[in-house]
Amino acid sequence: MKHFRQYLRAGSLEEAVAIRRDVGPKSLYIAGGTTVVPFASKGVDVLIDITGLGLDRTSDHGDLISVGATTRLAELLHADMRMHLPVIHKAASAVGSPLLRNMATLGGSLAGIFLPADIGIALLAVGARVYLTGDGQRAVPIGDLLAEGWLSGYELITEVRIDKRRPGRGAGFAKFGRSAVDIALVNAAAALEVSDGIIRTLRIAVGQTGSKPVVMAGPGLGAEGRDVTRDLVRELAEKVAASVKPKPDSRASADYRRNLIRVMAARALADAAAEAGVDLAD
Amino acid sequence: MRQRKRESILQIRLTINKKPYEPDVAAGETLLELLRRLDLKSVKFACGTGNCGACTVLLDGKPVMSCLMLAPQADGRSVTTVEGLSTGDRLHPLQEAFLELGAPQCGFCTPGMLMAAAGLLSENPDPTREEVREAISGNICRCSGYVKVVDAVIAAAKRMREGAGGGNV
Repeated sequence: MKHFRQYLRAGSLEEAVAIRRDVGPKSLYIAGGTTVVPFASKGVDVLIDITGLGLDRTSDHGDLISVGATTRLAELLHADMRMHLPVIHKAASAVGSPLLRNMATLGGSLAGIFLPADIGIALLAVGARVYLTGDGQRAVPIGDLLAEGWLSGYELITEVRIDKRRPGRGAGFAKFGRSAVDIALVNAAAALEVSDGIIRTLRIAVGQTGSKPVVMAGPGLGAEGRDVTRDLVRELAEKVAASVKPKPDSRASADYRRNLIRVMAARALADAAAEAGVDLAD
Repeated sequence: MRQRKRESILQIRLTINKKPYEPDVAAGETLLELLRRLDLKSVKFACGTGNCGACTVLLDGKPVMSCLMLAPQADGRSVTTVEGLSTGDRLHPLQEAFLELGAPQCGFCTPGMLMAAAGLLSENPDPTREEVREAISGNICRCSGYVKVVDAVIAAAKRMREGAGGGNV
């Protein structure tokens, strides 16, 4: 028996936000429940079920795909997603087991305490936009949400919009965990834009699980304007590893994590380059 | 879903193994706790945190972990447990294959394995060994006997394709 005292099914977005605003920190939104049910603090009395609000639809808007916040991760694993956003497909399929993916939702993966979730790291690299409802609605680049400290107050994620892959662009994702279903020890994703074999833009996101994800963009890495080669991938991965300060925990030392960051960043970058159509042969 | 007088109790409606139920549940009661309270003891409590899969049931046909779900979340949904796999005295082909090939060792993880496998076969009647391994990757066997489980799922899939009685799921 969990400690929750009240379970309310919201009939509309406005109602959900109003309840959360009234009850305050003693309440939480619940969708998949895979984080809320086992890990919500003892102070949480009231759960607000948001699965009846029609936020589980995926729609194709031409250049971008919109995914509703209560879409289950398993529902991201379809042929259209593999074609238009292979990096999201790969990251979603890396989360936990099929059992978990049948329950956990996209919004919950971004709002939950288990940051950095694999899917969030991939969304940070490709620069997804997150739609929130609270006092009115707003759309925020996911990187800004990370800088703000993710969600505060009673805001609710309703939708995530992601640009489809385009010629000359590529994205990659890599994860290392002790087993296939473990939470990552380190995960990394990279997205880049290439023309004439030269990097035009680059963004790399690294999750080390013990702390907030780190996002690095091209200028800081000195990547823009350089030829995409295997040597450059190695050099950038070294820079990423050197600039992140991973924390040690019971699963991995800081040194081990730093080494993994280097390797995962290199893999994500190499995959991104390949998807952008660059042949990385030495 | 109806709120009872005491605020923490609600009445939900759900279908379990094709039968309708309208139990009163506490807001904090997990689906696992509800199912065991209704005497469906195939559903096992082990880790309670979604790491082991011993509590796996089908929710609207898809395998999920009942320890990670609250009973109120199952309002209006359809749940299948191992008790709903067999038809009368006749075991489901998965159960038969598990028995014949010695897939259970201590047996504690077996109900979860069966439901994860049932979910797989309902969507993919001819899985590869790799696909079976992926489907049961969230089900931990402390006896570490995964090979025979994979053998049994492959054997059951073959029998079901050959029409040897599809069982209930």
